[in-house]
Amino acid sequence: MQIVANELTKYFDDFLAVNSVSFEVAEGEIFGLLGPNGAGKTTILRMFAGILEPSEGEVWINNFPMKTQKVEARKNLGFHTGDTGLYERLTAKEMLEYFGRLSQVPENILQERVAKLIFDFQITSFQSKFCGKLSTGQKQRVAIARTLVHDPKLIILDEPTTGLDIVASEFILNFIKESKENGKSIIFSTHNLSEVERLCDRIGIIHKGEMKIQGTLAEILEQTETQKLSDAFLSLVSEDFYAV
Amino acid sequence: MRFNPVKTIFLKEMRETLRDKKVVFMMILLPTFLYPFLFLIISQVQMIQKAKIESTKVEVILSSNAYHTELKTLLEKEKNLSISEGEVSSEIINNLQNTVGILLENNFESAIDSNKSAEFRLFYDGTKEIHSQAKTKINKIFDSFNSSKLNERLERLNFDTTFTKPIFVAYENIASEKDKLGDLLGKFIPAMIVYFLLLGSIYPAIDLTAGEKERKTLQTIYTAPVEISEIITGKFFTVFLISLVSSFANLLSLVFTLYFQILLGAKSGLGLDFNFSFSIGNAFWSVLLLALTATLISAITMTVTLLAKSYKEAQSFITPLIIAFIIPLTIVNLPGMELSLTNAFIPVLNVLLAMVAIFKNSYDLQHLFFVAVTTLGYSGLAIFAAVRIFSNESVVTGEKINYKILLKSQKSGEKVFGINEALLFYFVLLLVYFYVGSTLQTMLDIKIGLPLSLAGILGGFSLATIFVFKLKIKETLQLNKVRFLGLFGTVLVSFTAMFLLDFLVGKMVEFPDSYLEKFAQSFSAIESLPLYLQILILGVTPGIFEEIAFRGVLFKGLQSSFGKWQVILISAIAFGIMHFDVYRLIPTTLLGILLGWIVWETKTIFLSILCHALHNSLITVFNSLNHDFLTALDENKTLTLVVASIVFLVGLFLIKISSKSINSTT
Repeated sequence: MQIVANELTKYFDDFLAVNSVSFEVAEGEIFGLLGPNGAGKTTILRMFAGILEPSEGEVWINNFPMKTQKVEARKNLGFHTGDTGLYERLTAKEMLEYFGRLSQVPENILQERVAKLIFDFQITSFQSKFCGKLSTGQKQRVAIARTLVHDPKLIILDEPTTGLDIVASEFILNFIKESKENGKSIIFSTHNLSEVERLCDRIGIIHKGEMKIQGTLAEILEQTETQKLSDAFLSLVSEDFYAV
Repeated sequence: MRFNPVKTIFLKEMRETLRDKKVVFMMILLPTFLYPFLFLIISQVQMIQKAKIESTKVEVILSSNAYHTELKTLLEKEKNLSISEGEVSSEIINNLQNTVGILLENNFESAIDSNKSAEFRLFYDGTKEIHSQAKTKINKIFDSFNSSKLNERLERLNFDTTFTKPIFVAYENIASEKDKLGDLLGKFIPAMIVYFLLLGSIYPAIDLTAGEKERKTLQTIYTAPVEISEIITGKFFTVFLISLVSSFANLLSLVFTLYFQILLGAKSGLGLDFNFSFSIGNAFWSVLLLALTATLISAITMTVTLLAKSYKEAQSFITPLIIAFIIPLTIVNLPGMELSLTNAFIPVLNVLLAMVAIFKNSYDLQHLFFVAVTTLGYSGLAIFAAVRIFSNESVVTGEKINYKILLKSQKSGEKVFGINEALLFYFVLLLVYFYVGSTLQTMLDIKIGLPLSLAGILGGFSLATIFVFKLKIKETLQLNKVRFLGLFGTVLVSFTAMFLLDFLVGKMVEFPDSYLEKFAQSFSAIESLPLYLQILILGVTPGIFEEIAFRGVLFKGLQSSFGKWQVILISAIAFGIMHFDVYRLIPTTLLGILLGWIVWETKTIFLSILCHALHNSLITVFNSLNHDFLTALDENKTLTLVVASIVFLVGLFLIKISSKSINSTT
């Protein structure tokens, strides 16, 4: 298993943001995390990356416990945050090199890898431009390439297509598909149900910090007795929508 | 902590910071050109104004009611004064431009001739520079008129001019020009450096902390496989270097500008002798203290700005900090302020006072040493605070910092005793030991105060740390079984280490007589005690409690991040510094290396306690021995050294063999 999350719980003061969430993602698997705004998706993903410490429960990345072997665990993880998080005064190429060096990638391998990422992500034309001057789509491409520079086994993408136009979104979705073919495991959170239907091997629906359901698309439709993912999603989170 | 990630982060931060045009402009270009430019403009404006005032003629109306020829002649001789006669009153003068009035008393001349005082009134406008200039000139004339009239009176009475001066004071300032300049520069230059360091650190500190929070880039680096301490260290070095460069750019620019001003002044006869030299020792201490101050300031600004969640908030956090820094900058200039043992521990002020002493070339080495150690300690605490804040997850998420969590351990209630906690333990221990320990030793006499402070502070503090962090006492203090070979080797090493250390130190350090006298004096109270009590106070007690603190708790914390020799060296230097004695820094550090190595190899603190206690006891016994024996040893120094070296090496060898057998058993 590339990631094992065991009964993750997170409190912010007295507020229970995530309640006992457990799941696993196997090698070469795409896991889609769905949920309305404020459901706790980002909190869960941040706990996976070790940015937030779970109040209870544990996370293992490629068998390394995040709690005690953070550095080793993170070497196996590429994390793309909701905000692109690029340094404005570094060029796209420098950004990739910087994160490669932080991950202790040997210099000769790093240069090859950076060149390949620049080519694969079509960054060549703006590789020497400062990240602060890139368009939203360009920034997103650099940000995702950045998560791959140390060749991690697991990639976590927090709403990677939010705010992108169709062309840019398509590019990201194709990348996710190709990564799976290259044996990577991917967890991504999104609001876009069609993206999930198209790509994910398994899906988890989070609501109010709880994992309401998880399984393949067929399993979810069967359990919720619905025909479409959108109906399944609404049936799981609907009580609150109607309450509002 | 690993070197490579720190270097990578440092280089990236430097690159990004230097690409920020604001930084380059504000930190380097502005100070480099601002002072010469400002001084140039100010001096030019001053010169133009001065020339203008000097060339303007001032009308002086002398009251016609009491005309005095002699006075008029004297006034007419003065350049740029145009004398006329007329009516004088405040209304008249007020309505005229560039005019002052002199109103003489009606009986002015007769009062002077009849040995009385004659009054004159000068009407002028104190808010006008030109009037003040005229007033000075007129005063001068009246002064000379006054003294010539006084002399005439004395002559008439056949008195000598000394009659009016029963005493005459001649002032002789024995301070050389160099001392005067040292005093001036000592107060001025360090204060400016400290101020510039603070200013220079603010911008990069905000940009690298609150700025990153605002730009939401912190999360990105948090997901990289690096430790928080590595991120902080990389960022800290950036702030440190930029503030240092900016401070020196400011200072150089200021000094050069002043130098040229003085040089220009010297040409006009108003200059100051700029012949100021600095010995290598003084330069060393100045650079060391200022580098440590830069460390402290960078650490403090980073810690403060880390608490802010935005650029704007960070700027408002910095304002009280600037005000706080102005306090020591002001106090250092108060009359009678000198570096002493009491103020050697007040951050920033201690460095400023030390710098004044260095510039005047009259300092106590011990005081400078305390200043260096405490500044290092405070920097350590500030860096610890920065790491602690940075570990707080609300920093990453860009939310408001939860101060409650800040005080607790970051790992959900789990107490961790790592490098940061170990350094915090050491720096707090250092301060408490100095303040409370020295108070105890002064109040209770050294023979009770010394063991009490060793047991109470070093021992008590170590045990409290073990308790607070819920450490396993057996594992932390390495309360392990003693092997015979290790024991035997330790005894051999303990008995011979003193000779070798004494020889090495004798080659490296020269003890001044005043120091030796003072040292002997402070221990004289103990020397009067029976030998067994002396051994107990100077040998056994330090042996036990210093080992618990340094080779026990501190060792444990250092081991979490460092390898064998790093742990041994850092703990030894920490041990050396704790003796608060610059002359004993080298021997105590060397002893610390030996003790650290013994614990590392034998994996039991009992042997380092034994070695420490035996070593100290042996010195105590030797001090109480009769003179003949010591002289005999001294005469056979080479033989003593050769034998001691052989026995010492055999001891080390036995310890090493014992260590191998321990490792193989494990």
